[in-house]
This record gives sequence, structure tokens and C-alpha cells, in this order.
Amino acid sequence: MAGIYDNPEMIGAFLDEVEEQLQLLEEGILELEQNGETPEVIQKIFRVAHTLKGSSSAIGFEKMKILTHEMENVLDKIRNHRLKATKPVINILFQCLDNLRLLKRDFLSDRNDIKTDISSVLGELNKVLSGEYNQNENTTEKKDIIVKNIDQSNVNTIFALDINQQIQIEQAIKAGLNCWLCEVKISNDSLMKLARVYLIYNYFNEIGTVIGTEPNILEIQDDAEISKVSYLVITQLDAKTIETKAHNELMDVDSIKVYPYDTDVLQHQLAITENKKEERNDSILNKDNGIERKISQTVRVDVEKLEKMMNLVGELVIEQTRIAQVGNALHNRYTSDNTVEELLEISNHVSRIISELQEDVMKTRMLPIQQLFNRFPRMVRDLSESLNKEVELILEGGETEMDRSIIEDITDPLIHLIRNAIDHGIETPEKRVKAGKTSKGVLRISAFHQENHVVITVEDDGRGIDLKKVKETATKKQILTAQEAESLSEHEIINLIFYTGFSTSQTVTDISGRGVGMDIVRSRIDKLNGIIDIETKQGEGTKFILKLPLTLAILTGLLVKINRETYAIPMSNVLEIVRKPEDEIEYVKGQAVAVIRGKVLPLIWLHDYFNILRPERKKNIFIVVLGVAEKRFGLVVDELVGNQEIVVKPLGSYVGKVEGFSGATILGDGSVACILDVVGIAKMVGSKRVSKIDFEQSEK
Amino acid sequence: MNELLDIQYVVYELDNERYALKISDIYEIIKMQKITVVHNSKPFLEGVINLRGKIVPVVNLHKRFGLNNYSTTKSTRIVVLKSRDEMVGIIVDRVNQVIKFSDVQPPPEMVAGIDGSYFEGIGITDSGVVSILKIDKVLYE
Repeated sequence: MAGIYDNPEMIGAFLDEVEEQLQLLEEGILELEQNGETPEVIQKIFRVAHTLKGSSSAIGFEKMKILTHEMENVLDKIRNHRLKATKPVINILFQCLDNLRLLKRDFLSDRNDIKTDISSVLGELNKVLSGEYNQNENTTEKKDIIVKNIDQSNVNTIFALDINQQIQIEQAIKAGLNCWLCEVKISNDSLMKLARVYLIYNYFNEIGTVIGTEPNILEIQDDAEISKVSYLVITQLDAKTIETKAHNELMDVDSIKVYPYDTDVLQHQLAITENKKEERNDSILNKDNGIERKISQTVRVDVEKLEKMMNLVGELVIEQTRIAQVGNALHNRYTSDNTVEELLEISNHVSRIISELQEDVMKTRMLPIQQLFNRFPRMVRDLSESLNKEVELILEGGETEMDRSIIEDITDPLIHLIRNAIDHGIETPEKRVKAGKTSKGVLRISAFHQENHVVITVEDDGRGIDLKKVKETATKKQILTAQEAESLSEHEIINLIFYTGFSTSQTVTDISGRGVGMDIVRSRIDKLNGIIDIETKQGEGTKFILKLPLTLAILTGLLVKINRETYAIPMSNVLEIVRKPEDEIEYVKGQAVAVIRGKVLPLIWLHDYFNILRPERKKNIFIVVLGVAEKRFGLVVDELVGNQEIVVKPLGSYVGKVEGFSGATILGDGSVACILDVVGIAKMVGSKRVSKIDFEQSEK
Repeated sequence: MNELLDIQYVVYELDNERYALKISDIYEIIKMQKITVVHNSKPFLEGVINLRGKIVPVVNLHKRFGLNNYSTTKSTRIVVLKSRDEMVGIIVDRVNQVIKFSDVQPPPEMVAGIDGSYFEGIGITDSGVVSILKIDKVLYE
């Protein structure tokens, strides 16, 4: 491929555009399926195919160009009412969409090695074009009419002319040219009728201009079909001349009849289409205005630049905290100094500006979750179709904005949850009716902000999680013993579904049953420092609640002290902070636990893990209750410092990955504090290293 | 060893022994500051510091070479180097001077009780010998 295509900016712009157009395409096809065929929706889909064809050929992406070109042909037929958008056709359009997605993916990974095979979908498109689907009956009907009309010796209406052709004719007539309808009967002895028809076409093109043919000679597949072809020709010659000239000069022709083309009909048609065109132009104009306004307001920015900006703002936040601290120190030292007062005032002002700036920069990274939601209708449609279930999808709160990278990271978990809800949750229509529900299941996905978090819920009104079955499966798969299973709380049983390889499903299908889905959900939510809650009621449905931080780069941290060292804990993981008398701590098999709000929580002393002495026994201990994904536990800390905006910085590759820390941050006094990795610490629960020491302590 | 003669070296002290590093490897020399411990990381990693908004790891060479551990004095410094595109600080007892060597000898098997393979060579000066460290090897192996 030539070098100009290697320009990364061009490729980037191309990929962005493709993504956008594919989204539009999906919307369009879904709309077509749901609301049936309207000129607007066909036009919308057509426009997408056309845009994609243009941009893919500009970048030299042949396969995509070919596919979109074929799509255009089919859509054009639908647009001209020569093909109906029936179910099989829509399914093929969906196939095209999938293929385009694959092509885009291939293009992204390696432009010179496009693996996706589009030949099968091209074949399907060709079948559609040749009328193998619904067109059969229509065309024969049409043909009958045509034949009838021709029998009535003169027909003008058989030509379905598009606006350009009509204008061409009109202009020709104005210029003093004649427009003739030449009906040519091909002799039955002709061996290659199709070739003959083309030759005649070329012949007419020499003596004039052929506007159109009926039947369309470009679409004729089979020689046998051809007997009579009408050509609409603009020429200077008169009818008689053409008739004799053609008769003498053309071979394999039985007869040629030339009729004048009724321009009144044309005028009429023209008037109608012109009106329509105006209308359409109006609507297009309006739409264009809307788009234009939007474009002038947005700028595409490389994410890396935003990231850099975010880092800089992060540094500003840190330095500002330092200025404020120094200011306060000065104020304490020189209480009556006006200049110090002024400094504090400025410092306050600057900090307000910085926090505003921080918010704005953060917002530039935010996208409405709608973008992710848009993918679901199609998915739910396909799934429910293949599982023979009726599902109504309700999407709420699509305008909720969240960090770009978080949206990317929750895509997979949400997809798994939706698959599970449809496959395991929602019952078949028959079962639903039997259970006294409506036959159509409801899957509701909603997103909303709650304080500094985004909450996403996935809720179905299906059969709910069967706790008994979960318990049985867990013991059968030897995740735990029957005895252990008996002692679990309801909450703990539900959480068993997050185990790798856990699935209550008897059969493995291509949709679910392998037991990896929930594991993926958990690990992703872990990674994002999010929290999962499950509410389920047998027979009534299941609700998954995902609580995620708004953004990853700057977060609110709870600062605590362990052994006089300061540590930060992401606030999104902190559920509550409690103070407990030391003697209320109990030990279960060597693991320290505390009962907080009726729940038994394991406790962790990081002192043990860090090999430092636990502090002198005090009457009360501070327990920070932490949650990560489905896990809950208490972390014992020596002192609480307060909460603060912290900027997450990596520890660097030299230090590498250290268990228990997710990074570091710089505090107001310029010193570094490590950020505790709540996921890593959660894993320490029950690990020998910590519990053994607990055990020794309990022995004392 | 002749190519080592034209290079400028920074001479510093660890436990009363003199060592040298190429000046081009050194990013910055700063005063001792509060180092935040990172528990359960590399054994000779003293911790991390904040260098103008960047988190920089600090290595304890005394521990690395099994020398008497340092005690922070007025002259204790953190030498920040660029090694494998990453900034790493090392704690030294004192930074002496910038010099060129009149001669560089290949290192013997052991240098002041440390394996000779950690050294580029031994630099000869008027005031005695200085060991030139292979810093990448010291930090990463």
C-alpha cells in the first residue's frame, strides 16, 4: 500500500469515522426492523454505506469498499422500491454490519493483513440483488404488467426513472432533441441474447444517449429471460430514421418499434419528485445544519494529550495543597501580618480555580454512557432471538457521563451480565406465562450518578438465582465442602457465582455456561476499584448493582496512618469507618473477625503483613470497612488523618508491582504516600501469613 | 580502557570507600529527604521520594553491597541517575568531586569486599584509586 495511507492522523480519522458510521448503521438497521421500511431510514442506511465506501476507498481499504459498494446496490434497490426490506434482507444487512466491524478490527490490528472473509456475505448480497429472496413474486407480477402494457402498444410508465434521468430528458427536450422509446424484439435464434442486448445498447449510445432500459440490462442474469427490451433514447434523429437504420444495421433482431416518449407523464412525474426533492432537501438541510453546528463545537483530541493535561492538573492540585499549608504555617507565625492574610486569600482563590479546572479537564475525558448503551439493543435482539425468548430492553440514564477509560473497561462486564440475564434469568415465554408473568421479559439497564460514583444496574424480572442450586453446584465442583456450604449466609452463597469455572448451567452453549463470565465481571470491577452488589429474589428477578468511581486519575482518598506511615485508600472502596473496643474482636479458625451491623467481617492488620509490630493495645481500634467487587472486610488502622483529593502515580517499573499497593501519591507536605491496593489486601484475608499471626495472638 | 580516560566522573563515598559514576549517567544530586518506605518490595530499596512531582525510587547501596548501613549526616546525598530510561536515586555518604582519571585498570576479582563484576574498572588519580561502578548491573541484578 502506498505511503500516503500510512499517515497515522489520516488513519485515525478514518477509524473514528468508521466507528461513528457503524453506530449509525446499527441504529438504522434496528429502526428498519422495528418500524418497518420508510424512505428516511433507508436513506439513512444508504448514506452510511455510501460514506463508508467513500472513505474506505480513499484510504485504500479494498475489502470494505467492495462490501459497502454491494450494500449500496441492495439499498438502492430498496430505495427504488424494487426490493422489499424483508426479514432475510434485514438479517443480511446485520451480517454486513458484523463483517464491517470485523474488517475494522482487522484494519486496526494489521492493515496489510485483513483476514476477515467477506465472500459469504457478498454472496448473500448478490442473491438479494438477483432477486432470490422476496423479489421473485414481485418481478413476475411486474413483468406481467409490463407485457400487458406493451401489448397495449405504448407505455411510458414502465420506466422507473430517477430524478437525474428525468432532468436529463427534460433538458434534452428543451434543447430540441427527441426522446424515443425503442422497443426491440430479439430474435429467438440469437445465441447470446445478453451480449446482443448490450450491443444494441452501445449502438443506441452511438446515435444518441440511452437514458434507461427496461428490463434493466445490467441486472439481467439469464439469457432465456430476454425477448423484448425497451430502450429510452435521446437523439437528434427522428423515429422513422431510427427504425430503418436500426433494422438494417442490427443483427438478430426480429423487429424494432419506435414510440415517442410521453413527456406529459414525465412532466407529471418530475413535478412530484421535485416536490419530494424539495421536501427532502429541506429536511436534509435542517439535519445538515444540526450536524454542522455540532461539528463546529467539537474538536477531536488525542486521548494522550488529555491524559497529559490531567497529569499537569494533578500536579497543580498537589502544589496548591502545599501552598495552602505553607500559608497556614506563616499565618500561625505572623498572626498580624497583612501580607500573609493576602497570601491566604490568593491561595484560597487559586485553589478554587484549580478545582474548577480539574473538574473541567476531567469532564473532557467524560463521555455519556449512551455510547455503550447503543450496542445493547442489537445484542439483546440477537440473543433473545437465538434463545427464543421475548425480551424488552429498557435503557435509562444514557446521558450519565463517565470517564472514557472506565466506559471501555465496563463494556465486557455489562455484556456478560446482559447475556446471563437473558440466558439464565429471563424464562421462556411459556414458562413466564405459567408463572403468571407477562410473556415478555423486561431487562432494565440504568446508569446514574451518586455522589462521587457512577452506579449502573442491570435488572431482569426472570427467575432469580436459585440459592439451593448454587450451593449444590459449589459442593459438586468442590469449591467448598457440604459442611462449609451449610454455614454460609445468603449473601455469601450468592457471591459463589463469581468463582472461576462456576456455572449452574447444565449445558455449555455459545452464549453462556462455561462459568467464566462472572469471573470476568468480578476481575474488571476489581481493577476499577468498584463494588458489586447483587439483589435476587427467587421467581422475581435479579439485580446487579455496579458502583464505580467517576474517574481513575484523580480520586478522593482516605488518609490513614499505620505505624506512623501515611497511606491512602481510595474512597470508593471505603464503606464506613467504625471504632470498636478491642475485646469485641473474635477469632474464627485463627482469622480475626468483628461483627459490624450484623455482618461478620474478617479483619486485617497490615502491620503483620509488613512485619512491623502492632501498636500498643488501646481500648478502641479503628476499623475501616472496605468493599471491593463482592468482598467486604475490615482494615485495622492506627490513626485516621482525613480525606483528600489524591493524584494516582505509578510506582515505576523499577519498583515494579508490589502486592498491597496500587501506586503512590504526593501529599500536601511534599512527601509520598503509598496507595493501598484494596483488591490485593482483600486477597490476604484467610492467607496463612496473616491468619497465623492472628492465631498466635489469640492464643496469648 | 582508554576510552574511559576522557570521561568526567563524579566521585562519591560509601562507608569510607571512594566510588565513581560517569557524569553523563547522573541526572541530579539532591540533599537527603524523607523517604517513604514501600513494604515488601526489593530488599535494598529504601523507599520512594517525590522529585518535583515524580515518584523516584531510592536504593540503599550500603545494603546492596553488605556494607555498614549509613547514618544520615549533613553530607548524605541522594544521587539521582537515569538507568534504563528510569530515574533511580542512590544514597551516598558524601559527594566529593568531578574528576578525570589518568589511568583506568581492569577490576580485580574483589573490590573492597564486593564482587569485581559490579565494576567497570579502577580509576587511578593522584590521591589514590576510585572504583567505577557498573550501575545498571548494580541496580538490576
